[in-house]
Amino acid sequence: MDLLIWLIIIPLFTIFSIGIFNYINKKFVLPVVFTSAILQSGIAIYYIINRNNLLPQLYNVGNWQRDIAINLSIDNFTLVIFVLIAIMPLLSLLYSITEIQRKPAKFYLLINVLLLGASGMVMTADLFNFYVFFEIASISSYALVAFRDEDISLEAAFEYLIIGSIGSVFLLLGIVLTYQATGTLNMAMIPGRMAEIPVITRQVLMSLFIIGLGVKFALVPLHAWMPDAYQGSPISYIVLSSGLVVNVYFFVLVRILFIFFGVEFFQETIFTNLIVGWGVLSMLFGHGAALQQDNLKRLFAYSTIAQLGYVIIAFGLGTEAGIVAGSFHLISHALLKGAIFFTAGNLHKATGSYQIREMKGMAEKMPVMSIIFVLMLIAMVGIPPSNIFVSKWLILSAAVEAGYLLPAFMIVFGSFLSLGYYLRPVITIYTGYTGFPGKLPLLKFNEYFPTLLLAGICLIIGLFPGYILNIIDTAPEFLLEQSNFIIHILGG
Amino acid sequence: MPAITMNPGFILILVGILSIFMKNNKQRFILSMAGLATSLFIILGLPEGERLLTFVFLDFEIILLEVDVISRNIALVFVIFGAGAFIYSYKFCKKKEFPLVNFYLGFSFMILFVGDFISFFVAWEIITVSAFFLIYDINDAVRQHTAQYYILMHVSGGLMLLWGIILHVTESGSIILTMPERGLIFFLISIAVKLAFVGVHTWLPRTYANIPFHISVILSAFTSKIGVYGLYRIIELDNMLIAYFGAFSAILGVILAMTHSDIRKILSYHIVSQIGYMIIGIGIGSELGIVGGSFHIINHILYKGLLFIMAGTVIYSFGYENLENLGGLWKKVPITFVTSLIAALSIAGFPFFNGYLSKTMIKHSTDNQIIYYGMMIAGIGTALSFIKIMYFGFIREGNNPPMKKKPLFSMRVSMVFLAGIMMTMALLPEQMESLFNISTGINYFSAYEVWNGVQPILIGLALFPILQKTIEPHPEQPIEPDFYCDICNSFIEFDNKVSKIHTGDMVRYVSWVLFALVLLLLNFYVTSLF
Repeated sequence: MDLLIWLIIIPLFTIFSIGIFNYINKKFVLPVVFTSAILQSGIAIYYIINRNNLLPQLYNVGNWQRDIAINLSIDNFTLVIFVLIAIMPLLSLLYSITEIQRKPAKFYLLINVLLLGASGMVMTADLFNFYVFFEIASISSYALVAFRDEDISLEAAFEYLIIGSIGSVFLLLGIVLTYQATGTLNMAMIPGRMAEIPVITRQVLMSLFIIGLGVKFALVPLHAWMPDAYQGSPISYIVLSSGLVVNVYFFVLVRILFIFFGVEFFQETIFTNLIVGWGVLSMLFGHGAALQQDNLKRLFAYSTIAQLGYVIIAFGLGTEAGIVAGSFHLISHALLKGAIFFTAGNLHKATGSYQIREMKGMAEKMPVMSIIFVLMLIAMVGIPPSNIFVSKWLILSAAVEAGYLLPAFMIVFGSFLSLGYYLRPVITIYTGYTGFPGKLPLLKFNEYFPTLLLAGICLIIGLFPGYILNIIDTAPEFLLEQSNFIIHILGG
Repeated sequence: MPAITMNPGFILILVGILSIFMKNNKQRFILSMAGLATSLFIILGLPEGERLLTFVFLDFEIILLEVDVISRNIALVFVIFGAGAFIYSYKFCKKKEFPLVNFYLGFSFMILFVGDFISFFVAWEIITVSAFFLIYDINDAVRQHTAQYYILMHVSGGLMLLWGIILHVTESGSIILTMPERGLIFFLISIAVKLAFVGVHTWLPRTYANIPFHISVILSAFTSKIGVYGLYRIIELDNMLIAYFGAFSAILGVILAMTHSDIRKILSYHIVSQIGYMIIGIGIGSELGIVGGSFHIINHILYKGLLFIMAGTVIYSFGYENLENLGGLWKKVPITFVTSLIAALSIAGFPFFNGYLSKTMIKHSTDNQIIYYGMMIAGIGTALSFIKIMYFGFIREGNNPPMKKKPLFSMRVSMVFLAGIMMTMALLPEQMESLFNISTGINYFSAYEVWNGVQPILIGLALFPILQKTIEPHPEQPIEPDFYCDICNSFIEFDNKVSKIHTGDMVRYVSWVLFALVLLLLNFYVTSLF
């Protein structure tokens, strides 16, 4: 069954129906939003469960010839993101019910635009449509960052807008140059023609793609927008961003680099070393900057930057084990970081502030949330039996096998640094303090359920990593072998 | 007897989970004792030398049960001391401490019987985390600082272990717990942190002297011995270099111990020193050496535990632990005095006490003169510092601190129980040897051996009047800043600088983006030149 087009149709229709229902009767907005979110998750889960007999699948919009058509494709590598599409949006929307009290319809609308862009970016198989979806997702992100209408949000949104637009310009330049050089925008036809153009042109193209997309997944030093944006935006958006959207940008960059240029080209141009080194830099910088943050959201923003550094290292190795390890870390970091942000949001309910020093003594007021928070932070360092332990194990052994001993050791060192800054909120929360104002609001079901569910999923993945590894272990086939992807899109 | 093939650690972990739901300390205590009894029963019936309870995790075979003589004997003494510690401390334990102590004990048991690196690492790290929560206190800034120091130290050690395991596994392709083929140094660093080798021992006195006495009793008995056990599993060749390091640690430990005057600080530095003896035994690597080393672990758990119990009783009854404030206690707490005298004589290696047996075994396992004289010097130091504790704390007249509370009955029971077991072990050397499946042929109670054993103590006694002025008690700080704190502070300064460059200035951020692009292009240009 060709369900994949529905991942674009459903959010598109939801966007319009939210507008209409908001005008007719506001009561219908929530059911519409959740029906659409459940349907989207359902489609993703459907593809994950039936991966063996459905994948790879191609949807040809309008039934044109394959080389000029708008192709939507899904293969085993796409499943990495589908795992996140199945989980994160639904939980994030569930959490937003209480968090977004002002203009909820507008928020749901923007979130659906974002989801539309993200799903489109993952599935599209030509660069033109990719750029369209990329801009859809970006612009809705700018609006979502500004959503809270506070000084910091507006400033952050402006910052994000400027830096993001510069990134988009470079990306567009890259796409235009690709079209100039190869004469096509079909992602399956580019690789064959790319091999014929001069090396220096290919390298320029590569740089433009890296900068254009690197801005979006906060590659150091293109990361500057992220801490500010996270500090200013609602938790529901942060979870969706760090749990899905950032990963989608990274995913697309990986696909572009691997499919267009090929692994052999990386090895010829010492590109592998560059990317691994850059990942190490990104990781150390993120961990280093996080140590001194006073704001919990900023702290975790830097932590996200650092954790994506691990993923960059793993994919940069260019080996099968590296890709599996990187995909695993992408998923497990997204889930755990989502849970941590939800918990931070729950703790925030008591103090009304995300400043770490104002969370003093939370543990006595919210014992269960606090202990979950602490355990998840310790899990984030990679202490077993967490899912991060498994992913670190995979990344480390992939890196050592590929001969990158120093970067692998830096991963170990980075984990140690991360423990240093995770301890700060822990110690502040677990400090005796009596001067708490007033009575605490009770947590609602939709606030603690997403937290507990995500934490539970993380623990299960940590104990039984096979569930996720079975899904992603065929992912490298469509990255390392360009021919697999080309045959899949263009046919035999 | 029907044997249950089960890792005894799981029983205690289960007990830990159950004890969360118990109503009062008595129920939790009974449950914990039942857990210990069950695991004792299981340990006695475990088959030796087989690899059991295996399953597959990430393409590797996990072995959760692999028993040998040494791990079984250490587990037995863990049970005995665990029971003693529970009897001693159940009245003071807070609600959160029972589950944590049970987890801590459970994973300590588990690590003794696992047969592969992954589960070894898992248990290793969870021991650290549960100890962190035991040390941590919500209302005490000193304990918070200590806990932070503890977990940073131990997790850095644990990450070294992970790194070593990764190196070994990628080289050999198997995770069976054995002598590593690559990265031995990282295993050794990790173990050195866990067993508080001189140089990375700083967490140990800092921790054990600052936490409540009943927790220090439990932590001091197990943590560093797990490290020694890890050393035994990982070093399989005879390695004299390690034995020299052990002798070095033994001597430096006692020197540091003599300069302190908090009872628990002295005892902590003595752990460092006594661990040195175990390292010597394991480093020598002959059968006698390994048995001597692991027998010393067993003895050490008992007498050092008993000494920490003594320290706890003194703190409980008098409220002081600096020797400066104590004196003449032997009349007021006679049972404590007698049992701690037994423990002190044991640790000093006096004949007819249990430390003597294992020290003699280690001495007999090598002809190396450096090791012999190293142990001799360490023995003199040990004797000196215990004469110091006994003299300034119990015997000398002078300060006469008033007794606030009489030691509880349960405390006295546990002291007598442990002292009784120690004396039984000390007087039955042949049975002890048969427990280790070894026959040494050493005649422990011959005049020659006894004279050898008494020597360091006599020298210590002779030196004590001379050195009395230099090692006299003095007031102490709870936390002394050290080298590792300086490293952390310089990190924090560096990170301050890193976060200061995020000024919020848009021009700066945009220029970073452009800079990155230029750098990337330049990099490609430069690499294409060659």
